[in-house]
Amino acid sequence: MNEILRLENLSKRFDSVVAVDSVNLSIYNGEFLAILGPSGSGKTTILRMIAGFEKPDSGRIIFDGEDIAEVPVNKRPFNTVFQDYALFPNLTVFHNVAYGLSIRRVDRREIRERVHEALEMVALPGYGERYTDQLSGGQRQRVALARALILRPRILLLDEPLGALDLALRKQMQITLKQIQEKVGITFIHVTHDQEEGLSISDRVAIVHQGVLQQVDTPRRLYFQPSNRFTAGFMGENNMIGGRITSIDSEQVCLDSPLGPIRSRQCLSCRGLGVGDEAVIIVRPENILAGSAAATAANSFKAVVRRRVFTGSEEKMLVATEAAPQLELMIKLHFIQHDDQAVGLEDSAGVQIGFSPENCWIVGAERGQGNG
Amino acid sequence: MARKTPAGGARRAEMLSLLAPTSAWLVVFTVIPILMFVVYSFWTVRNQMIFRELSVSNYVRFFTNPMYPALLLRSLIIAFGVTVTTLVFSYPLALKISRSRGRLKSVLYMLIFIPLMTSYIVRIYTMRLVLGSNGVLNNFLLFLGVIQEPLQILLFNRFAIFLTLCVILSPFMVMPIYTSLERIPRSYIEAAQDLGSTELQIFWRVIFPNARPGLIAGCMFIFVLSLGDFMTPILVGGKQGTTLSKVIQVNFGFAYDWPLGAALSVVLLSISMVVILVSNLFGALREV
Amino acid sequence: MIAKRTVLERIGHLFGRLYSPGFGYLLLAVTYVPMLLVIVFSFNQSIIAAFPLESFSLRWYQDLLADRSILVAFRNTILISLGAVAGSLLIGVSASYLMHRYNFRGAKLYQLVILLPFLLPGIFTGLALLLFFAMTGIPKSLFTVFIGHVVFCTAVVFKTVMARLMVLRRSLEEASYDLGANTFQTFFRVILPNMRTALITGSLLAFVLSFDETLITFFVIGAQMTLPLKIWGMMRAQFTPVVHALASVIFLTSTVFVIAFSRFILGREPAR
Repeated sequence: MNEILRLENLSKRFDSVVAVDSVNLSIYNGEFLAILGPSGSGKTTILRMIAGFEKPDSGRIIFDGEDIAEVPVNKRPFNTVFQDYALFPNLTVFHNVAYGLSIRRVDRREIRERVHEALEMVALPGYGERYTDQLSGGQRQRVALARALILRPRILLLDEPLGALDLALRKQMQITLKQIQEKVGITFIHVTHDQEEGLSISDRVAIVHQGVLQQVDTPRRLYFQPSNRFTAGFMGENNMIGGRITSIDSEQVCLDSPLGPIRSRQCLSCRGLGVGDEAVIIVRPENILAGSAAATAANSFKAVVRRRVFTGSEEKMLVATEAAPQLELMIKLHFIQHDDQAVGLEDSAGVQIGFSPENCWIVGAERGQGNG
Repeated sequence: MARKTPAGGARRAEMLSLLAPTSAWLVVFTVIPILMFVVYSFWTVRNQMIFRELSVSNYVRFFTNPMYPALLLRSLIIAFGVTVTTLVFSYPLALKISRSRGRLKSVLYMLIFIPLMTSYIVRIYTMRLVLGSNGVLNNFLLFLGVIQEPLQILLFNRFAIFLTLCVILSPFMVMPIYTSLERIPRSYIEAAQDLGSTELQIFWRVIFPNARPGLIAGCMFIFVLSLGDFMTPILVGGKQGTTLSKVIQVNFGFAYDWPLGAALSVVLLSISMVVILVSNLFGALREV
Repeated sequence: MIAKRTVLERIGHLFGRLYSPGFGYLLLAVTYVPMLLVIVFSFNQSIIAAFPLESFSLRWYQDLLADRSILVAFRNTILISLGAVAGSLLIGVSASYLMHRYNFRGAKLYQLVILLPFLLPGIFTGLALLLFFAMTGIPKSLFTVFIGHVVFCTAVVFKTVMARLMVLRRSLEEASYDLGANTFQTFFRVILPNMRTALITGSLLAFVLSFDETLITFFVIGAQMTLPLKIWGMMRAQFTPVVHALASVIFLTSTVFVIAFSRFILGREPAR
């Protein structure tokens, strides 16, 4: 995969607030990259700097071998799909989509053909004469997409474009976006705060927190091999147990915790930790076994059920170990699991829980720096 | 997090292409005239000629000749009186319009807007018509038998100026107050009601404080306009009703002492500017 | 038990019911009755403006139409007002766009200088311009009145347009740039069309204010006449009831104008 855009030590501050802190990121040609992070993490600022709406305070944006940080917005070969779609209310759908072409003085016949083609691609054929206030949210979104894509940008930038849509529509649009991207073959950079969205349609995801890039990787690796505390804690649901490292070798890390000794495999996020350091062990609820299967796990504890939580597709239980009753852990049971001991447990019933060293991670007690 | 994109490079040229001509216009036709005005006030008139040497004699005249400070005081008192009186009558009207709904509200709003858009001079005239000794009000009172002879006091004196200004300027008070009132979110009032406040409490604690910028703006307008108005004193003030603004106008007319007129204007202007700046502190200019 | 209203509350309630509408309507009455009387008298046969009325007559209106000087004054006023609208639109829109798009030092001062002629009473602006024209040797004429009106009306257009620009979604402009347009193209294709209402409102306001403008005009006009100054002249000179007719016409024109204007404004959906 060859690199199409590279951010080098990109930083930006607004007054005294550091929005983006020394971000280094390579973006590859043809990939669907998501920039994922909570509100205020700086993800939108990064996108806007790529587009050209904000000027970086320091750092470079390398495209085609040149630093384009000084190039004005309208001269960059990128186009943006805005969060509020930014369709021009005074123009019809046709003229909205044709806008970029008419600026470039493309001839009228060609404009007509290309607009027609673009509208077909977003499944809005024949909508040309309508005005934007006559369209639904999802339709507007697709017009915005068409308007940007018709200009054949080298990179398409999407700023939380699905945020305003309801759940069903959003899921549908995610698939549509992915399909279009695969068909057109250009690089998409997509900013979102929705984890699921970031994971499900992207080739790679860049996690940002407080302006710092935490980790960039495929969704699978991010989920199963988080490199630092934030990433580990940000993806999915987590149980976190604090403790102190008792031993480290190339295979395993051992931690002494309020629950007792816990063993974990060696992992990316353990780098830089030594014996005696404060650390946190993270284990996802779906990886904690309950009942007879738990007894044979390497980390196994006796616990008591505090509460059951039913959310439709899954059953969760809050349990507390006998050794550390102040610490509540969440475990998930899928209805498929017919463990004789797990199903049918009442509050205050005793249960054996456990998890294997393969299914947990140890991270440092403080926030760590990610790698690009 | 949208910021104005900073100017730099080609953008600077763009910006200047707009800034230069507009600034040129503003400097030539606003800044320079005002500066000239101030400079002029330091010149003097001798033998019908403008003597262009700087001197403070006009200002000295202002302070030493007891007539001028007295006139200033009179103008200030009238302005103040008009401001307070219009406030008392305009606030309830603004409240009423704000509280109305639908048809009534549009009609009332238009009723206030129309005088604002009608020629100033025409409205002064209507007051003169009504107040004169031959005027409608007198005839009406005579007709009712309330008085035996026409009241002379209604016209051609300071009271007439005061009354006329009150009527003419009140839309300038109603408008800003109304705008302020409209900005108060309904939810504030509803919350207060929900918490058990009485109407009076709601007014004093919720409505009045939040409408204060509009009130200050209105007072500022009225005060400054009253100070600067000379047409009203000329038309309805008679011999008794001379204000500083009238004297200024006269100095630019047949008295032909432009520097003195300028100096007197600077005095009035300074007071007006102080009033505007102080009002701005209280947020008045947001409501303008 | 829900508490009953106390005496204080009852007084407060009455206060609200009586004071507010009462004084309000009183003010409206005092504002309109004189004007309505003038209208009544304009149709009165007699020269004397008093009750009881003589017969209905249109003679004052006929005299009005026959008076050439009034018609000339009217024409002058219209010309100046149209010119003032054009001029203040040009400067007002440029200035507000400038302030909206760029950050520059002295922006606050710039804005103050634009608004000053409007905030201060006409006498100051008028005198300042009078001095300026006298010192620079520009003869007083309708042209100087035109300049005075532009200076005054620009503030109105500026404020109206500025208010609209501030709520115009930033993303619209950004989208235009993103799609390859420059500042010029963005202004004419995206911004201007989307502030149509503000432009119209500003223009109408500027027109009316210029039409009725008396104070500044008084100082900077030459030998010609505008309509408001004509009335002024008529008021100082020998009394003639034609003044009533003229005043009524002006008042009714303003009224029709405001009603049409409000209908227009209320009838439009503001573009987002």
